[in-house]
Amino acid sequence: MKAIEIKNLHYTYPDGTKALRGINLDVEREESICLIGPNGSGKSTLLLHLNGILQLQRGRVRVIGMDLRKKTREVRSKVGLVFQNPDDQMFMPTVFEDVAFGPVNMGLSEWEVKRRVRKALKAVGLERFEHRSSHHLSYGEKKRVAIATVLSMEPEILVLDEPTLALDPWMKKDFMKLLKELKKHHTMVVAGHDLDLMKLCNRTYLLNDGKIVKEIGKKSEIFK
Amino acid sequence: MKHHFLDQHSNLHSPIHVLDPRVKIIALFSFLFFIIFTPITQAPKFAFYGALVFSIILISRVPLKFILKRSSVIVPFVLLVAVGLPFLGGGDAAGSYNIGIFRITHSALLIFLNVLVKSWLCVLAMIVLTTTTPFPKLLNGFQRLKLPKIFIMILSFMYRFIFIAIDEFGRMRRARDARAPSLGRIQHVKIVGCMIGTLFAKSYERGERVYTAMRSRGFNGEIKLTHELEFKRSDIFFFSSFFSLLILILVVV
Amino acid sequence: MHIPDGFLSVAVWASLWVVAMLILVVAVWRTNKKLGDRHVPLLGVLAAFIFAAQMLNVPVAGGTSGHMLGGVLIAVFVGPLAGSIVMGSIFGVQAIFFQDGGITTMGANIINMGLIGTILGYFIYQSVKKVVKGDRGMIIGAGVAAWIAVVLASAACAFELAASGTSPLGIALPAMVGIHVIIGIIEAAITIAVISFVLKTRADLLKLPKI
Repeated sequence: MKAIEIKNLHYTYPDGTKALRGINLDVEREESICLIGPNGSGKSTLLLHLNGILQLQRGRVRVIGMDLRKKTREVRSKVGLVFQNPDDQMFMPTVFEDVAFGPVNMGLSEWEVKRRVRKALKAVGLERFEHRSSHHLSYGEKKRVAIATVLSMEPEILVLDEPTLALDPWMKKDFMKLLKELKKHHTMVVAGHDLDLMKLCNRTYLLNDGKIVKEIGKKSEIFK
Repeated sequence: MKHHFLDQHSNLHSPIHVLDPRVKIIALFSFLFFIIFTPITQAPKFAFYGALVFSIILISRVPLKFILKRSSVIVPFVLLVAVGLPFLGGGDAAGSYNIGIFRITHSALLIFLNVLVKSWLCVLAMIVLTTTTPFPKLLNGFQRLKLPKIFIMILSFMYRFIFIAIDEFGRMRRARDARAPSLGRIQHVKIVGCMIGTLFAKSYERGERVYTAMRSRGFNGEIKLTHELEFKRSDIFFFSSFFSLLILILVVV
Repeated sequence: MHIPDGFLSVAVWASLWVVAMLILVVAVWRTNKKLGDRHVPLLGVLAAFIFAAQMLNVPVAGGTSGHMLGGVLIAVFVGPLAGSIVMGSIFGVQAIFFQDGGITTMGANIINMGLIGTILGYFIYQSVKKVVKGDRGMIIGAGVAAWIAVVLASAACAFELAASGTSPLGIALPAMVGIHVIIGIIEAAITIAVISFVLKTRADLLKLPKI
């Protein structure tokens, strides 16, 4: 069973913008892939489909064998979507409430929620941050908490939109280490312009104008 | 950026700070009702209410100066009432006082004392609550006291994003000051208008993105919230002694 | 204009609490029905926005400065009922966390400074828009509504104090309204500035569904 199967996916926004024009993409389990391409090439639109946020218009998406159209709820608990700006992802007053938001919506018991929050924060290296106020965190800490908010749902697939954007070189070094660690246990789909991200992934695809233009094996190819 | 204007001093450590927010909220509200419903003529009672508030302030270790300064928010209204005093109270000439050319009757003076004493004590009690309880804890408390979840959720978002909004204003203001340090009044209004308009657009879009983030983590319209509150022995102790004192003041004094 | 605890008689504050809560409950119910679960984050973020906007000061004469209340502005953007929820949340937080206004008097403050702007103000705005067409109608309507809302708010405040026997109407009304005739001009000026700016840059935001 593949982690993600996308067949002939099209998407048009209500204002008429054609964002995706026939995407075909397979991702094996435990594999990590990187999507690159200019702004407006459809990367973010594609990512939002993986989690069932955008309604499927044309084409087919299967996640771990489940049809997205039929099993949106299940798919959402299997796919953790990490947004570009952590301030959009952390909307609760404290770190605990934010990381607990997903598990609580899944209907887990109070005890299990607490266990998952602790585990997720430990995984991103922020133990004992539960009681901190979200607005008192540094940008780098917010980025990590944003990942913890989806890790607490224990997803199989992690989807990250521009994870290294606006990180300074020191923060980025630590952050890449974290991504490398997460890669070991998750299938990963990453969108971004960053060469280091490409190095991290098994395969890289170049998107342009809503289509996958080519697969890039080695990073040197991109400059051709 | 760090902000402390909202729940300043609420992260100190004191016996009052560690109390369960539910206990503090109920204590505060009851205290307000006791004050509002006690006739001002029973002066000794108010002395005891005052003593109660100030002993809690002392235990809380919040700087007294800060609390007193903060309590000055009631001053404009006190002044407004003071200005109206000579024209209040009707004919009770026997118990009236002459201040300059004005004659203030005894009943008018009572009205003045009534608003001054009651509003000050109430505002002091409110300040104690917010300087000893961080906002998220207080929301947890209100949530457990069954305030509708929709309000809890809106207030949570509001708290979270106030800081971001203020930071954005700060950035815009610095950008403005860098380019146009001094402005005429009309120009000033125009620029404040641009800043507010820009922030509205950003806020609206953020609302949409946050909604997306919520849905992707399984939100389907039903608000489920967490809390980390548990009654401790000290809560029960505070609760029972506070109410015993209130009732003692009511009955004995 | 935030009335502290102790300034209103029980009959006055209790009835205003009931009225304010009834309006807010209806507003929540209607918003819920029209927007679905989408409104929760939106109203929260917009409440934060108005809250922050209220912190921006504009200089008035004599070294003093004023800021906007924002009731009319938010109603023009998202409609009277959604706007009422936003304003209600703001005054609730201001009372509890800034001691700007009391707890018993919260209903009065929500009505005076919030609901008069969002509901009555919105009605005035709509009426002006019917007479003056186009963008100009929008700008003039919002400005007029903003000014009237502030003046009415101060008058309501004076009436409430008088009804409570705290301050005679003959003193409170001229004192409150006199000051707010001027403060209202600031409210109107900022409201106009915001709406003209949004009309120029993001006119789509003025066509959002109104609730």
